[in-house]
Amino acid sequence: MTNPIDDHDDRDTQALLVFLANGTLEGDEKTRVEAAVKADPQLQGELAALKAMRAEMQAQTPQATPGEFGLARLMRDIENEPNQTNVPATVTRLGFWKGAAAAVIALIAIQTAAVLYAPDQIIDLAGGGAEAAVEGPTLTVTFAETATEAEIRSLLLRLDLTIVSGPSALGIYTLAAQDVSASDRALQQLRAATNIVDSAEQEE
Amino acid sequence: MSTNAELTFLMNAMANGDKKAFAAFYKAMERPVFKFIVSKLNDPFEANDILHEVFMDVWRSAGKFEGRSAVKTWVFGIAYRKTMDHFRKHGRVTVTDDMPELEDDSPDAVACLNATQEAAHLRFCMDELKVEHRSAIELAFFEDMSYGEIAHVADTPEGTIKTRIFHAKKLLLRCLSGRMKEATT
Repeated sequence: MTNPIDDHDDRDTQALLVFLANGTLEGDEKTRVEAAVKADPQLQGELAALKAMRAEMQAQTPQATPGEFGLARLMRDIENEPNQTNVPATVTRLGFWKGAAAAVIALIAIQTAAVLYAPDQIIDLAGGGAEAAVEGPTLTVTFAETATEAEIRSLLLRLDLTIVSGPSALGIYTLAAQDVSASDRALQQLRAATNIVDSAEQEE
Repeated sequence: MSTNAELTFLMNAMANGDKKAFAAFYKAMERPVFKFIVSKLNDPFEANDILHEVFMDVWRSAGKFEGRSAVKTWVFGIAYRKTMDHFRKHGRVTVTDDMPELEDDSPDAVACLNATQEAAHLRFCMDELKVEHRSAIELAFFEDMSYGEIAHVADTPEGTIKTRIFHAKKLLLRCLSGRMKEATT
């Protein structure tokens, strides 16, 4: 007769084998399931089959997605929404940029130092494994998709701004100014450059 | 896939009515969410409509997102509920996780492995699963979610997800083993 506790443990191990295959199992559970696999050729075979299944599923090419048409349909419907009720009472525009940008920037780890060369000047992109140390005030900026590298470079040089991080995967840059008054002036001019800059916010 | 911090950034922007953030969010999440939905429906037109509803909900609810789960998990939770609602409307969803006990004959692991490498066999066997079981396996293998994350998506206790995975795995491996044996005889 099967011991119910053994049977439960066996079922648990069988289920967790899927999560050993996808790499999300951790700690004691991982140790326990790995030990069970090591001791049981049947589990070894199943684990190999599950890993192959995962690889096969991830390799499957998805059917054509709605893509831009789907986005256009969404944008049309969003425009027709009666009221924008998204804004939570506790979130101010500045607060959101500050908090969200901080969350993003905290995770940005630029792997290599890079330097953009201008004909007569250089813009340094901060490098290193952690966020570069910034003494002055910083601005969070996204650029228009149509803005060229030359336009961006020219604007940043004119405003005496330095890129301290970015672009992130979503195109977010953090820029440093020399001091608060320079940052205030730069913010106004960045916002005015609507053909180059999508959004610009000051970090406190 | 974008990081959770990036998706959170966009969520906050959407909460402030930023449509560009919404477009970026859509571009980041459309493909995996659509894949999740269409794999169960096998009807791209219905899947398109559900995807549309999911992203409309994302837009409307962005301000209510409290960050108690990863953004991806939250979005897949919406997609899961919409898909299940669709199945319920069409009478294709079960309300119990009870499964008939299977004979404990272990599947031939080598045959499973060989069958798994043939996409047609895998598709056939996935189609044989109940939608809740299939969803659990897909979230585990398409999205590499932990059982805790899958429980959050399905709004179901972790123990239930383990039970679903246990049965789904057993049925899948048995189906694949059987398909391979059929093919070789």
